[in-house]
Amino acid sequence: MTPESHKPSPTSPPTKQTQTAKNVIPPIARLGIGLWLFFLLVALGADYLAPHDPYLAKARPLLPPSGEHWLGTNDVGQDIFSEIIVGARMSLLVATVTPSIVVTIALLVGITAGYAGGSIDILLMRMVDVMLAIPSLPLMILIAAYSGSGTLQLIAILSLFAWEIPSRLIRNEVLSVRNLMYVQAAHALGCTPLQVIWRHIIPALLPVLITSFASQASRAVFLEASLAFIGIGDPTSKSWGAMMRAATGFRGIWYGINWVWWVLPTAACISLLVLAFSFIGQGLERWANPRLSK
Amino acid sequence: MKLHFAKLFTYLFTLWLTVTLNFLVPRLLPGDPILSLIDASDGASYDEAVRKQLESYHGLDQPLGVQYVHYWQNLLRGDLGDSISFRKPVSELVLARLPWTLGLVLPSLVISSLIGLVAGTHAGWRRGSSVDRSLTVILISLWNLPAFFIGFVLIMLFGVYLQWLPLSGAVTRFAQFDSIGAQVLDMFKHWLLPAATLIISTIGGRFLLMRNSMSVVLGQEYVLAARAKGVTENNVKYRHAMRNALLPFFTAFSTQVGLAVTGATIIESLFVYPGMGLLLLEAVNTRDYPLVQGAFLVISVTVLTVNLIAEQVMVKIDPRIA
Amino acid sequence: MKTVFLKKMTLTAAAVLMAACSSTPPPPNSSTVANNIASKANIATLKLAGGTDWGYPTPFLLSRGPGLVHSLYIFDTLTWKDKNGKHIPWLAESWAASPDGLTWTFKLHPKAKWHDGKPVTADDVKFSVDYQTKNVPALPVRALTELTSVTVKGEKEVEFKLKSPYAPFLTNLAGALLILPKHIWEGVEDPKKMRDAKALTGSGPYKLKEYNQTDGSYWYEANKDFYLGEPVVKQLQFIPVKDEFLALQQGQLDAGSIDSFGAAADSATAVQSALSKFKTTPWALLEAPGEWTMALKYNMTKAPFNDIRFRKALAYVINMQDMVDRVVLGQGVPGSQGWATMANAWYNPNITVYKQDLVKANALLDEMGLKDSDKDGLRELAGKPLEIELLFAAGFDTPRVPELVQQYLKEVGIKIKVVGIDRNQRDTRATKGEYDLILVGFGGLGGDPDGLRTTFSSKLPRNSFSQPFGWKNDEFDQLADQQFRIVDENERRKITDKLQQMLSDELPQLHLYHPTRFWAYRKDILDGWHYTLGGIASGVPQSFDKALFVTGK
Repeated sequence: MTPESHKPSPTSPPTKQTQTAKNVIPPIARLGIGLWLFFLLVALGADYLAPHDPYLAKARPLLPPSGEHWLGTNDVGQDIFSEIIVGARMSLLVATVTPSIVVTIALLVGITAGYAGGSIDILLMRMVDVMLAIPSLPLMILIAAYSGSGTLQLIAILSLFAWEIPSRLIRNEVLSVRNLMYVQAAHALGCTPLQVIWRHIIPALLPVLITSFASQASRAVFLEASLAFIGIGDPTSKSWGAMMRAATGFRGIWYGINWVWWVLPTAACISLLVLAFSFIGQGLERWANPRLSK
Repeated sequence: MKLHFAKLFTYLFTLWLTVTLNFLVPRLLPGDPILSLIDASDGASYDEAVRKQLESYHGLDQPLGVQYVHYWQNLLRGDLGDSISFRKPVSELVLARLPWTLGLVLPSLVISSLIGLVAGTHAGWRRGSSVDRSLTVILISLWNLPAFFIGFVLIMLFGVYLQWLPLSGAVTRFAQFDSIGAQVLDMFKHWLLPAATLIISTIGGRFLLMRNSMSVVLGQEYVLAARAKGVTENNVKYRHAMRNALLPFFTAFSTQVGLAVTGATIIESLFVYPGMGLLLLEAVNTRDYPLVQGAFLVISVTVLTVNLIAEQVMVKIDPRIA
Repeated sequence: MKTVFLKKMTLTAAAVLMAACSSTPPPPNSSTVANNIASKANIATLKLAGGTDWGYPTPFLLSRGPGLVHSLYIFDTLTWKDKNGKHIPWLAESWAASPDGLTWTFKLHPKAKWHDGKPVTADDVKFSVDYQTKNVPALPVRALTELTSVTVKGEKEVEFKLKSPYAPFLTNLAGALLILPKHIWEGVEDPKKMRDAKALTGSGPYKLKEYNQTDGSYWYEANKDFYLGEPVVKQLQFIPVKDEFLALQQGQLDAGSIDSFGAAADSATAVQSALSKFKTTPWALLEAPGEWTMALKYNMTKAPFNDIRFRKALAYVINMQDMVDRVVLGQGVPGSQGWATMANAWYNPNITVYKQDLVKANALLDEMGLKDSDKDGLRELAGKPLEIELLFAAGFDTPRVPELVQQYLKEVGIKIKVVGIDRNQRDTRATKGEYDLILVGFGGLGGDPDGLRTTFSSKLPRNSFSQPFGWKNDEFDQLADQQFRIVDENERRKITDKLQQMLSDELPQLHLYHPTRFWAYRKDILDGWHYTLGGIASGVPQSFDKALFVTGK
């Protein structure tokens, strides 16, 4: 349910696999990367892979699957299979750009708060509290109403309500690293704060950054679909969420079996892509976290 | 004590900022609350005079500053104002909806946490076993299904095909019940599908959290020591390991309560469940400023308070996070 | 769910109160409703679909047309309409107009009583006019401004005087003004704060038993002492449902509308078999042409929309039949460019009709000089590629319509950029002319053709999104001003026909399609369902005719 509840997965502990082969990417991450690459290829080659123009409503509406239309046609006569293929673009675009923005903001906020401490820390963490305290979903709807429904606006909205939790995670991580012996030692040896941050803190943050990125990617895909489902998003581009909305909003959906080839494959794609990012995040965290696999 | 005053002050400051944002954001965005009172497709009935009259009745013709002062004056008297589109006091509307959302969200979160807790403990204890693997695969897969899809499938199965459970709403309206028990059963039947959707879609997160913190705890020295001392397996599992693994679990739970209240919006709109999320959506759609403010405020205060408590607890648990 | 509920609103509710009607002159001594009663067995409870909150049913707290229909169960108007839109006696037992059409006298039903037992008097009628002039009700009764005076002529007799003849008098005033009890409302300063049980003291056939704002459920109970006879339907329940059709299938409702997925052509056999159930006993299906329109509006203060050739070209490019087949799955008709549809008594069948004709469209565009000189597949306007922004209410209206418009226009080298905005903003921008192209859905001409004037005359201020933006035709304005003063129906029809003809030639907005209305009902429970011609009161397009619930037919 709650798209907001998709939070970065918790710090993972060492496993047998990572303990034995710390430099090998764990299978779960490889599976995730494989899935992700698959969707990436589909998105990039959509124009060649899609058998029909998904925007063209020329076929009869609500056709069942056939050789011509592998997943039948939707309520207006567009090819569902082609819609799904082209829809991968929107999901991947959102899943790449949003986490990049989010992690960059979170890094700035988290390091500033964690390293500077004191009143700056309090101020930034209060900001995080305020952002977390404001009901985000209705506010997203409100802002979407204002900014219009383009893809850029959607990404901006998704990012605006996502940097808070990663910021706090990074800040907490910075706090715990800052007090570690070797960091204290670096200070004592006269390293400037920037040097300390660059040489000691950022490397220590890598696991958090990777998990944050992956979980933000899966959150973005998830939320894009959820928002499209309640009618927010770019109406001119095909997206899986918009397809779900069209399918479940079509009144006849409850009476036929069209939902089997209309709703199920679409939902499966959303889930698989979200899953891919979860796997990547979980797998790579262990791989990248030397402390965990001591 | 000093620390507590500082905390209280920042809490109040956050509260003020939230209230002010709740006031400003809806008003700065384009939109017209009067549209909910008139039929914009019928020009002949509504001339400028009618519109002006409506605006002044709802105080919308006042300068923003004056409206803001009025808002605070009313707020301090405990008055959330009157909804424009529902033509009713905001507090009445919120009070009518809040119990439904809380009744849906809280038990669902508790249930999904309990299941996640037990399943996560077992899986974490026997990490890598077949039980762990199958639980992990099933629960993570469910976790990654969009809630609206889970809800859709549940409605299709239990509402349309099997017709065991009602499709929407929170009660059977106008039904005559023989006993309180029958009435409670009716409410339970309506609650079941949205709650199941919420539970299924959140269980994976709880499970993973517990499973992972369990594994971390297992590597700790005191657990190893307890095992070495020959303490029984179950004793180690529940008294030592699980108790320690619970801490991050509870902090995560507390911060998610607030989020879940609005997060339930999608489920409420799918099941037409008369909760806060649906109310807030309607308020935003009609630009019903007083209602948006009131509903936002209630949710924000809840979330802020929960966060404050969680922070105090966290400081006690882990003094590093001061 | 939300989308379904919104879709439903587009089709039935948003279409509201467009005008008024005196399609037939007042019957001098018509048969009373009371005579028709008692042919049908009593109906204990009639279950209908609720689920949308239309407000607390007082005249001041109700919401839009459907809210008015709720209020009308409790409160009465002087006259009512039969299914053909003919005015029949209701609270007024009889009425008469002076030959010059300036004086109207109404005699109230002798047995008419308020729910608290006090008689309804001429005083109450005069009070209702005065009170609702001072305190504008939720749905303003615009015709009140036509009155010069209201005089109490006796306990049960009241006289209205007009400034000048007003053709829609019965529809827009006698049939639209809710009569309120003076002894309750007198002294009420702010009627919007009046929300106790006393506020629902009416004279109508029903009393409100239970109302839940949270899920829009209403429960009415028959008023046993109703002056036209005890209603046949004893209880009237509006139950919230997720999907009206599904609820009908599952036997939760006794009647309900089936819209927006229609017969689904021959491709969805499951849908068809779902529908076929309602064609067999005990079910019956009522099919009626619709008046609601999905309209494409253009900003005619700008090029190229100010050029009639461009507007005609659009009408020749857009395949309206295809749109009907795809958007409402064949359950509707292509747009009628005179606005009035064949569902309306004032429909002019001879207006200009546009069918897709790309040759004509291309010729018109070429003639305007909108040519594709750089051969990139796009025509140019003043050297720039012709790319037009099309706004629509995302999350409220179906995105299928803009998608199809985009597809059709691409064929003649016009690129459409679809931009979704939320409904609240759409309404505002459509009203203020902040658009190039915009899609709006709204109700039909309704009860009286004066809607042609109030919607299309450039003399009226722009305060509605159904009005065209930047269109002015002096002849149209002049004719429009004449028609509503002409009491003779045939004379008036000549003008309204001409007005529709002008609209179809000048195309100040393009009507795309009108969905057909379907109503499925258990005829063993209640037969005789109908859509009142011209709509309930001054034009609410619903089938909840309270006269049906009172008489059972």
